[in-house]
Amino acid sequence: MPAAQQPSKAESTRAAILGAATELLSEHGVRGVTVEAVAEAADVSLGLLYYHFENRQDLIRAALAEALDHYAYRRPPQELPPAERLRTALSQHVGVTTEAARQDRVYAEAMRAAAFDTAIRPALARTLEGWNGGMTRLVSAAVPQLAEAHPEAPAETATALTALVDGLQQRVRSSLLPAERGLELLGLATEAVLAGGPSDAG
Amino acid sequence: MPAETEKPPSKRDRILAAAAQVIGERGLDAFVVKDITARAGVTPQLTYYHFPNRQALVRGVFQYAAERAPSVNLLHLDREASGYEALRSALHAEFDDSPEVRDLNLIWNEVTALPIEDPELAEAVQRATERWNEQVTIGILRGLADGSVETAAAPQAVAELLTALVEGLSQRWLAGLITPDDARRTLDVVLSTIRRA
Repeated sequence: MPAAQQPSKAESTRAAILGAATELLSEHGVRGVTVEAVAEAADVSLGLLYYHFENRQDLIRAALAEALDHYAYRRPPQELPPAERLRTALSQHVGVTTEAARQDRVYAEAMRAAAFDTAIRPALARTLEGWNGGMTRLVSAAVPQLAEAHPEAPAETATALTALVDGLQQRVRSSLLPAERGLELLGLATEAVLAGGPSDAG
Repeated sequence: MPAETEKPPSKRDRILAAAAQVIGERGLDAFVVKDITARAGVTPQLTYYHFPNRQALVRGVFQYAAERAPSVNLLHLDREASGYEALRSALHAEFDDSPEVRDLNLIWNEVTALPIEDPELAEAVQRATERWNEQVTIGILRGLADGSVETAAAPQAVAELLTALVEGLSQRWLAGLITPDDARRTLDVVLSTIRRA
């Protein structure tokens, strides 16, 4: 049978190893990803793992890229008014019990690792672009006047909001801030930047 | 503790300064104590005397970085500027590619990015974050008093929000995704909402 007709055994082994590694990543972070644990979870020998990945760093890079490239944003319901869609989209990332939290943990791990390993940056940059791009569309829909004032304004506003979410999420994840307080602060900032001036939210 | 105070304090600080550099270069998971000792030009015994284990060293370095954070220290120096401008330049000063500032930010980011396992370190981070929020709150109050800041929100909430935003931007800057200038511009989007027109 010609090799091209089915996903090769090597490909499916590689996929199984990557799957196990990304699973461990979102559960225990980069520190929890040891070659032994991944080999065991993927049910392959260490020798086979090293056939596919040169070393632990190579495996972590591939797993982070794999997880980041499959980062799935949950779109807020279409029937909500635009400003409400924006708030919903942002707030799903502040909190530790949400579905998004697992993916966000991997994103945070990648962010931290990228400071020392430039090979991780391209996948991370794509994820951030997607995150900013999605929020830019929601900001534009929520406040059409922003783009009229300045074509770059919706993107700048969206970037500020996603950076704030990243910061709040980090504090919630590290138990430095209760999730409810994080959401309250996010609401405050969202009102202020959408109003495009001094906040009059109480 | 007499034994502690008899030691020249500069030795301990020299170790911490070296540790800040080494951790800034290699990260919290990969740094080697021997490199720190060598860079500080002190004996391993002296390092061990001040920091009996890795956790103690990490706590020391975190404290060292937190005490030197530009936005905590610069806020009160600029007496001439309006409260808003003093606040803005102090927060802007966090984004700087010079090794000293970058290392301090990296250490803070390394410690706070993920759940903190050492309870003593977690407590130190909590205290440092509170202190940072307090200092920024004082900056906002100064702006409210001199009329350069306007906000209907509680100053404490605005401060918390600004420091969280700085952390979010700092991550992106340290990860090489944005430049310090990008970070400042984005910070201004939120800061400008409390500037009195």
